[in-house]
Amino acid sequence: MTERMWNNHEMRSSYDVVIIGGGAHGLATAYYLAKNHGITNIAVIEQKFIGYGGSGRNTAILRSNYRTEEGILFYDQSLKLYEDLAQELDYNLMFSQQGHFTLGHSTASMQALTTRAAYNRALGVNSTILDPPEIKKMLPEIDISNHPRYPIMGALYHPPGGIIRHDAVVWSYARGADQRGVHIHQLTEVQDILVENGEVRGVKTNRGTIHCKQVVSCVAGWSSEICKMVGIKLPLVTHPLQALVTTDYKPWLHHVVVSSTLHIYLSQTDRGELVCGNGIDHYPHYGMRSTLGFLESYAAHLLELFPILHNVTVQRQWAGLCDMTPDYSPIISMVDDVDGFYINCGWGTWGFKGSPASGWNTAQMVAERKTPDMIAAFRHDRYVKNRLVGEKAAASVGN
Amino acid sequence: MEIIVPIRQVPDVALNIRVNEGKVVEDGVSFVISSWDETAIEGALQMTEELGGEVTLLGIGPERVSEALRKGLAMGAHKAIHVLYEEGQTDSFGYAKIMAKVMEGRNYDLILTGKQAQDTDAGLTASMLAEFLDLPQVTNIIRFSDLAVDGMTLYRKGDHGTEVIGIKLPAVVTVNDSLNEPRLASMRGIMMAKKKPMETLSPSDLGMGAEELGLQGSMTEVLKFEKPESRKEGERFEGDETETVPMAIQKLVSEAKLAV
Repeated sequence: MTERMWNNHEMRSSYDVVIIGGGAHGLATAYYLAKNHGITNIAVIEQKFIGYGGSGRNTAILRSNYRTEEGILFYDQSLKLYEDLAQELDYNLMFSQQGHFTLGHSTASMQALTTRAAYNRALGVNSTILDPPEIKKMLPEIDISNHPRYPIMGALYHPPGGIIRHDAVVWSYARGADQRGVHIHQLTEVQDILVENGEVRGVKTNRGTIHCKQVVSCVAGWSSEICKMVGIKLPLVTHPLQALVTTDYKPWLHHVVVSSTLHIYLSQTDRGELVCGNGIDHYPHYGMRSTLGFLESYAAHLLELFPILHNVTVQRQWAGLCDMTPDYSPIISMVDDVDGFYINCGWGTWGFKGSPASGWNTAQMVAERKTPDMIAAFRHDRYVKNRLVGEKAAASVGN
Repeated sequence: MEIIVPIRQVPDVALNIRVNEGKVVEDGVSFVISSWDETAIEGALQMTEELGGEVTLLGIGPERVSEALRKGLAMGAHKAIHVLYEEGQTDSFGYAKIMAKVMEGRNYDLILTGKQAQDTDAGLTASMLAEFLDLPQVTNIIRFSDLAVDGMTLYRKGDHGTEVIGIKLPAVVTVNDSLNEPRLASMRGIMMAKKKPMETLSPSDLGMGAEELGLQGSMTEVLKFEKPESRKEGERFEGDETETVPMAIQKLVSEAKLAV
């Protein structure tokens, strides 16, 4: 008989915790609630199938070279969890810590990268500034001449950064959670969240009502819709983000390369394909259409960096949704007015790399009903208290 | 060798197509080049690579059709003609007539296109075009050989074998998807496509009046679209095979009316 990685279960009429969203964040939260806190009577409710959203649509780049103290410590915890995850979950996640370049093309961007390197090192994160000849040594195919519109002036190099197999992360968290008793309900849509006297009472789904006292929303691009159900308005704007994958080539690119000025990032998978991403589309939208305009601008910018790639052919493109916050940091928060409701969103273009730390800390918040120090800065009310965690300078591309 | 390849932009059938009140919902739908037309573009490119000459794409439809044409240019076609056409429902006859008007006064040796469009599956336009232009036609080819500017040998797939046909050019030929594997656009091709010539025409530029366009210019009308009924959920028999197999057989006989 076929052994399934996770099982289908009858939906119970009540659970201790309902997690909305079966992506990496929701599943990691379920897994760490079960593993770290012994809470296993959990339902993960997924509208489509697990990993349908951002977890299956990102470019699988991991790094912790952020700009703020809060951001650096959080993503460093995430990267360290990723380092041990394959062993912990007994699943080959194909994590390749191949090093991560963020290219600088102007004096201003070099200053910003230098500041990031200093902040990173002060907090124990390995980051350094390289000059063009040093970059060329590690990326022999890159054009460091002064011919392109935006010549390369240097780079922030972050050795622990790399790439991972994103589907495997989703599947292995799902298996780990399932083995500990968590129920994963796919093709189940949340239609309303039931609140009485300021306390969560349950969720209404297309398959019936579930009674529960704690609900965690981990739905990224759809967060505004879920939060509307409990009367919370968040400063989120959802934009599509497009990516593409080329046909496969012999291994030649051994590091992740990002240029925020040229709005591109690329890496090469073990199979040999180049996985390429861009900045977010400029218009807020919930559609996940691929456009020719993206292909055209990506091709132009990629060939500025790597002219040798002119004959590379594009195999497939896709798009995902990004819930962008004003300060480019996530929102992981309890809600004072709705006891038992927790928000985990605002993951914009930086969500996949944060998944383990997001799950770890959200689980702790739910189990202890108080905010862990690690994510204290990411509360939802920081926008009204003017205590932003500005990470725009560390976003991969100039969105 | 000058080749004109009429292409059609269709909803991406790999994605979920929604139907509302008898009409296909276009909002949120990705549009792609009909796959048989991609095969025709590849075939035309291979012919011009052997004999020289140019491939001209022809697309009829709203502004979004220019994206399909640019994708074809990115594959390597040399230029494109876009008939900007917003007339709504038009059948194969209507499209064939517009194409025939576009061909007037143009120099071409071959019109090569897909054997049918992926959305309507009608497979009529190319034959009607051949009639309008009074040209020989061969449909559903899976191979070509003996390529020359005045003729070639075509291999036409039939139900019980392959017909081998000699044809004099100019002619209208439609292709089966087993003719080739269409090439993917390269990064350079995508860049160069932006600079390739695209001629935009309106029906009035072609001297066509309202009576020749839309439903008025068509001979058939699609009254409504219906989605196929979704399959009923299957039944799973779990447990010991000696019990579950007879149970499954009994169900197949009683409900699916299978003769045992």
